[in-house]
Amino acid sequence: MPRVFLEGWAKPLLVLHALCAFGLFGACTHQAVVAVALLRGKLHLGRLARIYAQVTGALFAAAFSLGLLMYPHYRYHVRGLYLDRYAPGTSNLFDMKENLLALGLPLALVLFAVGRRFEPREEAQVVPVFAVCAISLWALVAFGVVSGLLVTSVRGV
Amino acid sequence: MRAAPWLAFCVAYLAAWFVSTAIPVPLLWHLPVERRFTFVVHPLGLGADFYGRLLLCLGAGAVAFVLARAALPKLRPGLIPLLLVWTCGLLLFTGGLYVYTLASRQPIPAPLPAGYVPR
Repeated sequence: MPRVFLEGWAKPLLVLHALCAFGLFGACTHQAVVAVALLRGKLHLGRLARIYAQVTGALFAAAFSLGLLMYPHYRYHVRGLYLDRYAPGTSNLFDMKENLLALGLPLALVLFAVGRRFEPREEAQVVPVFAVCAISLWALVAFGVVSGLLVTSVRGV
Repeated sequence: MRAAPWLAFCVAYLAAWFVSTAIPVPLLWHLPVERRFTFVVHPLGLGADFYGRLLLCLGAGAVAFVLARAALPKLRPGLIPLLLVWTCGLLLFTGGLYVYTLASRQPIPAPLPAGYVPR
């Protein structure tokens, strides 16, 4: 059996990846709620927006990095040997999740970089930017968490 | 205007992801079984283009960020809504392209190694 990068670490990495993803989903949900409130004119929520922007940015980076580390093991042992052969629909679902969350990376970066010093009362022009990034990222992360659970229920590492 | 360079990063990153998916371009592929990288359009064996595509898009985003930051004093305020619209459009188009392509894909499994027993 060929050995791939970090093969022996796949299970602990998957557990950490899942924990970060659940935390990220929670933070993103709070952030999206704050973003909708900001759009409705509740500009006193700047402190919460700054906190969630930093938490979301850090958790997204952690979950994404852990996913990158265990990807070679997944690509060969999970997808290559099993999912592509016995569950092609699940294999395709994982690839959708992987690519859609990669599209969320620049949004998380914008939220972290712009949101950590965000003052809604002084930067009215940034409110729509914050809201669009927060709501889009929430949708992508929600899809990622649900599809990740579905894929793991078919075949874990 | 401090959001403008970051939105420029977003637009360039998403555009690079869309173009590198829609048009076959050489990318850095990771070959997990052989434990090495190769720079090709599509490798013969089992490979993952994810790392290469990510590097390409981060590079494109970084270039756009640096250019937008250098031009920051000359940027007009109306640019932020325009960049935001482009970000949303590219996000929808690129996401839609992946969903459409992957919904009907027939993946090719890797050859089973000797003695492999599925759990």
